[in-house]
Amino acid sequence: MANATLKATFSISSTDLFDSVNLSKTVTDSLTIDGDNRQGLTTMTTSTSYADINIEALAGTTGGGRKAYVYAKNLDSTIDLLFADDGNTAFAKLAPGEFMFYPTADNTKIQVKSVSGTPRVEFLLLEVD
Amino acid sequence: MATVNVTLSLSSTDLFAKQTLSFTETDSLSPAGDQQLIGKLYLTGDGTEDQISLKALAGTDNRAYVYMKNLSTTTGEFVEVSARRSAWVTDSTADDWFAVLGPGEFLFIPVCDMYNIDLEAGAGNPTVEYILMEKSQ
Repeated sequence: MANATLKATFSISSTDLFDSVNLSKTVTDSLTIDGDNRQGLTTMTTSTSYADINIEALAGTTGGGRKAYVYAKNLDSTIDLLFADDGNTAFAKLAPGEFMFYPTADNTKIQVKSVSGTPRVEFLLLEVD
Repeated sequence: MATVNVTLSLSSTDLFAKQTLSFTETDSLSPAGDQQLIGKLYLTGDGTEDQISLKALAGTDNRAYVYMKNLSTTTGEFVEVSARRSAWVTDSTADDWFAVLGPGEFLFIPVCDMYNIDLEAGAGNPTVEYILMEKSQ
């Protein structure tokens, strides 16, 4: 599979997080995607049991190993979503409408579950190496 | 309560033969915890985990918004990101990362269920910039 490029831009700003410092910054990155697992934008109904968002075990040795770029958003309007790594240990909780973007590594899978009910999650997973 | 606006844009024309990726997400955050930090940390190096918060994360589920960027431009100087989950200042996670930052890479995660975030260099002494916003008291 030919390499692909993912362009990522993140902006953060606030005029009242700090009294004496205004926050306003934009960062960009051009990421090379060369893994064998490219999962485009997907939506899935969650439950209170963990489900994998990757369709095959994450692999590779580059940049710490088993690396992939992950975007996820909680599409629900009332219920939180929990994300865990392959040790079933939660590391992120998305409130309704919240999103995250990060490079995962050192884990064979990423899991998601709801704290209650069946909210929907939107995600993108792009394996590196 | 402060307001923090965040925007993420992702795009690619060559990920998929039949589909172009291009979208933007925005959110307005209201961090209300008693720890709001901007930091820049020169990491000690491989074998040592450096912590980013000044005191233990607290509030409901110990939640916080975390933005972080690895400022290194040197190949191989990646940063392992892991959670410190038991007692404050006690490292109990045995180097169990949930994220990695290659040179120039960034992340944005609403983290939970941890007292602190540990950073360890895969090689060299990369510098990491971060913003940590505790969600509630």
